[in-house]
Amino acid sequence: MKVRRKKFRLVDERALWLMLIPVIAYFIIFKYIPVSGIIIAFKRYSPFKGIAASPWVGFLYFKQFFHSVYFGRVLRNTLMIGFLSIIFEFPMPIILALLLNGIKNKIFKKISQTITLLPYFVSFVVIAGIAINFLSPSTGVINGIIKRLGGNPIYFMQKPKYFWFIYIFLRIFKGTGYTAIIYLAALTAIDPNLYEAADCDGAGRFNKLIYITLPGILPTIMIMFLVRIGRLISVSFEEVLLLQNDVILSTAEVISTFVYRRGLIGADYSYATAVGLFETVIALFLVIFSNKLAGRFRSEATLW
Amino acid sequence: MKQLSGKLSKSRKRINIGNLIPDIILYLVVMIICIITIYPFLYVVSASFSDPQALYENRVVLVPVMPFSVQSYKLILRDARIWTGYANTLFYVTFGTAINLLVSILAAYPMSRKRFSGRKFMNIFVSITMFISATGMMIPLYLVVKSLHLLNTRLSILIVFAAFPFYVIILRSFFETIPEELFEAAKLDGASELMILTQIVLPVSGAALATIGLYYLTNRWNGYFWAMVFLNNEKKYPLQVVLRQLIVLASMGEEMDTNIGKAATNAEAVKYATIVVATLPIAVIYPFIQKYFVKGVTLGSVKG
Repeated sequence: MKVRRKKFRLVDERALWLMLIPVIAYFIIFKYIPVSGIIIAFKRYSPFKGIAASPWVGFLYFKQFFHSVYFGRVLRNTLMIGFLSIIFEFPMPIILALLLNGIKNKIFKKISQTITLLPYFVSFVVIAGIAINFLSPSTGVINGIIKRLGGNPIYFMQKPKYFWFIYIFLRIFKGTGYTAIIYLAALTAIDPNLYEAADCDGAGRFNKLIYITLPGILPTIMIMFLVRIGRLISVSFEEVLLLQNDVILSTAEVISTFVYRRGLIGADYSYATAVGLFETVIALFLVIFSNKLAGRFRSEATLW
Repeated sequence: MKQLSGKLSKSRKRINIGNLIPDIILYLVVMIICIITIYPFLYVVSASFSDPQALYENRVVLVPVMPFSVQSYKLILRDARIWTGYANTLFYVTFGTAINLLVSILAAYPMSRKRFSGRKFMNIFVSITMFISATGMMIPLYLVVKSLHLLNTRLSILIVFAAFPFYVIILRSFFETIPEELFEAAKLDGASELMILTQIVLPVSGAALATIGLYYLTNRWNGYFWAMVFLNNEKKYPLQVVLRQLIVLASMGEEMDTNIGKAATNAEAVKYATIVVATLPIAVIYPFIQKYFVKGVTLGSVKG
């Protein structure tokens, strides 16, 4: 039977490879060639000479970066945003999912979920625009309230000390409803018999939360946590860039936006690539580390 | 059984008022979260219709302050940049998403064929690119696009991000759930790989394609960064880049200036009207596409 089947050629190899030609071409040109372009971090790249003819400089740009005033600053800002995000942003979707899960009224639950998911669909450009206008010391609604209460307007976007919290708050605002869906899915997977058994034993709401609900979603929480650790220093340049201005760069400049400023604005290609490579190496280390740990929780979850 | 226990617990609640208090708190907390989430959007709408003078004097809190004004809309809809931005975004989103889906399908289908010799290679070839950090790639990718003479072309926006490896993997996993026997039967009937793909695989993958297509579409609609980097001609800017100029950069600049003149009075209301004009399409289609995103999150989290 097996021999006869093989004669019919169950897979047309040639046709499949043909389909893959544009795919492979795309990945080589826009993924693999850029990876090889990282080599300019070790060269004094000049656009006129091209990559091959530019002279080697070894770790010159890395040393320059490590000895510059920027190194400590951007590393601190990146890590602080990462840690603050883990402390404040990470638990929010879990809390929201638990709250929504506790709601019995179907219509109320549906409306709440629709509302909390809405900001996810609004671009960060718009969200940053709303935030900046809301926080404006002259016409912003937040300072309007502060003034009405008799306070002095706060220059939110001009004082470095506020930046991390404004950014984290906007991340929470935009992403909580979306990530909560993952936890809600995990919550529905909990065996309802467990709750019924607990009811029979006279367990209260709080006890059910501690002994059934939380253990039930703990694997999901752990996986999400490890994914978050893997992305600890990958602060989104698309988002941070929108909230930056020259006055608050001391707290608002992160590694990724620094690469943008030096490389794409300043055309200091080799230096910026070296900084980018520094980030890549740490990020890779974190991803591999968190994947290893995640593998213990769920074998399929590696390779995130 | 479930109904019975539901009724039981309901009647128990009616007797014991103490049990109601946690419920009331729960509903209140969720309501407060919803109000915080929806308030900025309501404010933006109210502000856009308010008398500009009232807005300037911080008198708008929730409802539009009379006299009801559409002056801001008249001003913004006369601005050619908004219309050009819209037209460009429509172009990038339509053709960009089509390219995204095409490349993803061409990649995912061969990768899902269990007897295909290149299956393992392609899986590694595609997956490995997920580990490359966006920051590390920023400069090399820019230089590749530059050396291909794609800078300041609409084509660059369409093809540089022709496929996201993560979505390719999700689609592949979905294709893998289609029973192999279907393929083998079709093969025995003499169907070509292309026929199997277009007549068997795609018709049963509607939901998965819709989900992934919507993810690509949202990315295309929301993205501003690479358009800002690649393009330097206002006529080619997508909406988000225009928005960044109108509501983010303009506000940042204003805030630096501590004594804003009356000239800015109108500017505030116009900004809010701009946000409404730019976000309206999302608000309109959001209720219809929401369920695909709910599906997509779980699709992504259980990927194998």
